[in-house]
Amino acid sequence: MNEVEEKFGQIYFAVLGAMALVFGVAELIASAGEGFTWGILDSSGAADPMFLPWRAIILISVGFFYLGSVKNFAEIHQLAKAVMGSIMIWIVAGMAIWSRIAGSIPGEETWFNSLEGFLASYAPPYCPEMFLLPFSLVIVYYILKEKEAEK
Amino acid sequence: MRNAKSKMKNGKLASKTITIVTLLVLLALSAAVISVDAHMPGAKAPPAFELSPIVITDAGAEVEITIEDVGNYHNERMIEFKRNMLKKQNKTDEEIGKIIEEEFAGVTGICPCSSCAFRAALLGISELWGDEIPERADIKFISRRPTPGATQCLQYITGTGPKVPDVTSKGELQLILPDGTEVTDLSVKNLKKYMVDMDLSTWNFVIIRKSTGDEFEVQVKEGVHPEGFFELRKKVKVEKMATPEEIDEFRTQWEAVRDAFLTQPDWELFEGVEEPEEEEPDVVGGAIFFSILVIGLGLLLVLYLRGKAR
Repeated sequence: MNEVEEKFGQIYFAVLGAMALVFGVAELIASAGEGFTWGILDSSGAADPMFLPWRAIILISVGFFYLGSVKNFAEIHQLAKAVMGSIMIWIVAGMAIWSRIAGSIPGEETWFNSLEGFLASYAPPYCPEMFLLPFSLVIVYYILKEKEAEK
Repeated sequence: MRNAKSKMKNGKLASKTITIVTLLVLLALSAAVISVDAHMPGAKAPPAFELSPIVITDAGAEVEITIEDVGNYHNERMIEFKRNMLKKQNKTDEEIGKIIEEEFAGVTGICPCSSCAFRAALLGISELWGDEIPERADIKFISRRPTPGATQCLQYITGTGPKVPDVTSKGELQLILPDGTEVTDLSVKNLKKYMVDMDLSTWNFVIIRKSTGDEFEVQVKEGVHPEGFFELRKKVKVEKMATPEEIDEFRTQWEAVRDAFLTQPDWELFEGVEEPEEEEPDVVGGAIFFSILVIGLGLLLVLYLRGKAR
């Protein structure tokens, strides 16, 4: 990992960590009440109200992991923190995506959903983890870089 | 002589028989009229329905009022009224008990008037208070309907009626007829005087949030009552000239109106309430996300296979 890549990683994961932390705190506050839906962002916990506080704790942890990895980012232990944060996002977002896939197949009163119903079940709003998912994939680049360096 | 005497005897017997039969018929008819006037004996039980309760606070304590509570209260008040009426007719306690048992057997007190007033109150409160829980003392109703069912329902909610449980602070209830007459004596006996010509204009209630002065008027829509309902009601309940067939027909209409207030949505029952628009499913948004998901998974698969090939 060169200096530019390290600098970029530091700024990138600092911003991502701050975002995760903000989302986490917002979800934690939302879980105390009835949640909220803001545009395409959903923290209502309508689908899984019991899981909402856990999601909030996970997001706050992700935020701390990312922010904690920023200093001396190229160091393997620091990078591992960012990897941990990303994996946590992948698990939660993966579950959210999986629940959408599973829910999109059966119809309300029929065995299988209509095409319209199937596509509509992937429509917004989405939970914060799903928004963070594509941004968290950047860590794969750094993992591959680390692997190359090892070789 | 003997023939003349026996003819006289037969004549007396016949006139006695006619008198007794006439009296019995009159008694049966009067009983039928009284019972129809008080409630609707023989009416079928309402269908399955789901009505949310009215939630208010009374001096800080939360009170939940269901349609069943209102029905029971209305029933108790009508039984009390009937009991007092029979006492004045010098009936014994045993006779009174028997009459009440027969007349009120299976009666729930959920009639068209009480259910309409309950729905109107439910709608008005949700319009004026939204998600807030109103304080009982902040609620005021103006009713145009001088029936015991509607009046006692609103008395129960405002806590202004006799023997309403859990009342610390009272709301307000005014009965102002469509012609502007204000009725202050809300006893069943007095209300009966005004229950003569009751058309659609009496199916009207105004709900007021006293602290802000905001008002919401609830008017029952034309068509909720079957055709000829008001005329038939007058014939059965006021003029008391209805034939048994007409009483049966009125009973069916009465059930239909009650069932409508228990089962139909607000926009079907009341003027000015718009049916909420059904949200169109966001197929485009869903299709975009699904495409991204498929492309992303495809890329992951390609990368994995490439890595394996190396």
